Amino acid sequence: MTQERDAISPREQEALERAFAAARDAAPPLSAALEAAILRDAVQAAAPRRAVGTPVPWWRGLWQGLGGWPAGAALASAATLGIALGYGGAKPLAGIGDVLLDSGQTASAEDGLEDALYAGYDLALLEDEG
Amino acid sequence: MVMPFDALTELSDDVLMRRQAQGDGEAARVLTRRHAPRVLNLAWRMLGDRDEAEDVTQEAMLRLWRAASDWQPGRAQASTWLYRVASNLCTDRLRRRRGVALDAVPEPVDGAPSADQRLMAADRAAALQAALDGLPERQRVAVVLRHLEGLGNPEIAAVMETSVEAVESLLARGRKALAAKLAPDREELGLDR
Repeated sequence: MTQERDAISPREQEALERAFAAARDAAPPLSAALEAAILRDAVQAAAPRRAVGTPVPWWRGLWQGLGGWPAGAALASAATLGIALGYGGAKPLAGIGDVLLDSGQTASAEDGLEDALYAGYDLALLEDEG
Repeated sequence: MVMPFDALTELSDDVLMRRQAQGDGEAARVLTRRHAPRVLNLAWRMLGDRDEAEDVTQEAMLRLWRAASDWQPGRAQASTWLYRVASNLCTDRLRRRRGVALDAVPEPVDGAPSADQRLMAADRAAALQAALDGLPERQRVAVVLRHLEGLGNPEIAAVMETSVEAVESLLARGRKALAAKLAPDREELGLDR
């Protein structure tokens, strides 16, 4: 009903179509400046979500500052090795040191180590022969 | 994975929106070139001012970028979503402008006969713009989307969040009003031939 009342004549319709066609041809192009501004906005809109989207707790920041999981794993390995050396590995090293000191030699550390290794072997041979 | 621009142009808006949310600048470029010109055209027809139309276009696209992370594929078309945002932004501006800037409404063309077809076409476009500026906002949105952007009535109804019947009514009234506004200059603008 409304559309019948608002109907326009075929002549008016043709005139309107010509005006619409002219307007379609006159559509403004997207300028380079506007495109650049839109793309800058796109970068800024995506960036905060990655950078400051969720507040980082202070301890996590400290942890990351110290090197994170890789650094933590290395520290744990070093600590374990230190404890193992402290309890189990220190005696042989001390034995080697004693041998080096008792031998009175001023040879290289490699020589001292070799002597220390064979010292026990020599004693065993003497006992067997005796 | 970075894809070349040409390959991205084949992707759907939904895929491009997901990539934009992940910071893919090329996806944003494809979306911009696909949709921003149409948003600009709508805004220009609604507002009759190039600078304001560019502001609206930039704002509408910014809102699209902000919506990218929550974009649900298949739920809305980016074009429909953008037209809705842009038409609302234009309506807000027109309401702020109303009663304050009557002088800013473009004057109808003076009717001086144009020597060549290009000038004639420019005069016709300017006359139509002046006539559009005199339409109520919702009629203007419907007419621009239908006759300048080429949308179907169901899509216009989605943009305007109304029924197809309401769109048909808006279009009928809009066309009648435009025809009446153009009638005095129809002969001089060569719209009868």
